Amino acid sequence: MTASRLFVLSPTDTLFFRDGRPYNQGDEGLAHAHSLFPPHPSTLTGALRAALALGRGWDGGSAWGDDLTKVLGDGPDMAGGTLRFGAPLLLRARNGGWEPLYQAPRALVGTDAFALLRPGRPLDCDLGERVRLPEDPDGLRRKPVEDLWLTAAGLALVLDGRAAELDARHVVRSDALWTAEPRVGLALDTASRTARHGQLYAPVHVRLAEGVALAQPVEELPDGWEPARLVPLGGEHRTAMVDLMAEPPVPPQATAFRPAGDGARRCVTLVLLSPARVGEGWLRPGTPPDEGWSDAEIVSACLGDPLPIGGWDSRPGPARGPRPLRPFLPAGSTWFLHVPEGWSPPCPWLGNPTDARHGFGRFALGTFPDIHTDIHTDTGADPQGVV
Amino acid sequence: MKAALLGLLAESHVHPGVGQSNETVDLPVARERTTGYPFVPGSSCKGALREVVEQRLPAEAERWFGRQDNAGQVMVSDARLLLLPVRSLTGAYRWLTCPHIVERLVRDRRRAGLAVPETPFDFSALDGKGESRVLSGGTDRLFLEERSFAPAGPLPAGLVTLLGGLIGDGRARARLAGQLAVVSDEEFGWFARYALAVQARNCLNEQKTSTNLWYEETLPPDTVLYVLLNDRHTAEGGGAGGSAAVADLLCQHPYLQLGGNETVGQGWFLVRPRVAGEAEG
Repeated sequence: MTASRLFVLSPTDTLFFRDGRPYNQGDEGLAHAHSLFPPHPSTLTGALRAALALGRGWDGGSAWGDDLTKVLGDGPDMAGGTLRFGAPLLLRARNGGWEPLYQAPRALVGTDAFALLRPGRPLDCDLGERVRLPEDPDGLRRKPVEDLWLTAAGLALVLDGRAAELDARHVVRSDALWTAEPRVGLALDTASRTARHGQLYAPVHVRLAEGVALAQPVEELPDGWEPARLVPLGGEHRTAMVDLMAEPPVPPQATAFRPAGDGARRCVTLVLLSPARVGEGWLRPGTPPDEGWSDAEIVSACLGDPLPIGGWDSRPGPARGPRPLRPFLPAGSTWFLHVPEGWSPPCPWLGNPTDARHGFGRFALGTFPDIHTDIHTDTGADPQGVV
Repeated sequence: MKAALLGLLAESHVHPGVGQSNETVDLPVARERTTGYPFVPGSSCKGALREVVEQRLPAEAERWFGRQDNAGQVMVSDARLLLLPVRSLTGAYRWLTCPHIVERLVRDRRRAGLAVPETPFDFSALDGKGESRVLSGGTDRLFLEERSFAPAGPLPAGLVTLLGGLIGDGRARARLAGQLAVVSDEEFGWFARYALAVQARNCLNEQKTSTNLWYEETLPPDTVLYVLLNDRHTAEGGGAGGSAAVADLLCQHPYLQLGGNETVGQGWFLVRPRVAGEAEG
């Protein structure tokens, strides 16, 4: 019997996640490295697979045998394994239990009062002719939210297109969840007891607030597989305690998709819950190139800057070493789609299936109000004008 | 795969620095961002332990502490604050702690597989309505730095034994019952931020005038901290593992230097290792 469960990772002190780039030796005396947070899904799956293997008696150094690889998969691609991970999320302790928190979608703007960007009137730009860029619904030029996390109720409001109803109960600032902790380290030369040249480094660690933890859902975990309690997580041998909980929280979905113009098609927003690697066809308006998505039409999008995500292959042998960096779109990236009545996504993830096993490419569906669906040729009127 | 808890008693001033700052104190100590407690980063502790092992058991240093392309077997946590010596107007200094720190010690002991008290300690007597309260061995008002604390009751049973287990010197351990004081988390946070020793240091030229004056913050002598050692994986051949072996080595050579200013006598600790499964004397 297998089940869907939730892994909860509570750090023992700080955490440190590098973004695949070397220490920045901009200053000859000091090498800087910032930690990113939240970590990439593949970092968490690596630590959790190691925790499961240790829990089954792996000694920590040798190669995995068949009994481990048939569930956990072999190597960073999880080849041949049955385990599948979902999108990571943050948890906050509330009322004796855990409350899930999600990153705010990129289309959310505002500081005290919030609104959702929506596709504007068509105009000609470098992406092509008659492209509908996102516009602020109130005609203001508000900035996208930064460093904001939403409760499940808050995300449900945003996905329903009711971002104006968000208030302080639904949003959490990231500095209430974690803080940066700068540290300094050096290497001592054993003979002379002085600092070795070029070995002074200043990593910036992340310290989670009390009652905040990382979590990742897992599917197809066989009964009786328990993880080791303490596992190294991320860089600088920071450790975390692993707990395995029952049913993972289900991300909210929109209650109904609003109609587009004539009513034959529906307006759907696709919000990434974890980073995704998509083809170039997803970066322009038009039909998405992936199989099964040909019914949908990309009208507009709010996409984040690409994240370079690599990894480390720790199997003993010639493959051992860093993996090449690949660009991913960050969580929170939002596409505005027009889809036919009764449409459902062909697949619960974007991107390739190997990345999806790590929890990349997961999304939630929402809806948006589309008021510019009568497409006439504009005679140069300001696209941010009258609503 | 055994974990080890190392109790650290500061024999001298300790300076776990983080480089310069632009505030009043030029060289502050490392502090936890969320609580403000001073601590010694895990990288410092690991480096100091590696040094001890390289001198006494050089063959094991790489296996336990790793090299460029292979992580070591021993995972070293940060050295966390347990007892902070604070000036007292009445008599000698007091060893100060708070309920949050005691709770963290119990959680860390459980993580290391050591015995923990069955019932949590009761610190509810500290909830004074606007008044600063303290739990200690005495019954008089307590004056710590320039603040005054009203006595709220005796120390919870078993607390002195639990904390004393991490102090390496028998006479110092015997003093604990009389000098331990527990205040609330908020009050302790004030002492952790402002009650550390600050020394002025100077550099004189040939004319005996000052060329460089700076202020350094240090943890005072008799500060008690603790470090947790865990094994990343089971040792080959089912042996006790790196953490237990390092703890064993420190039983025989119990002095460890952490932090900066080593050659001016700072950073020395007396170590009291505790390995899970072994009897605690």
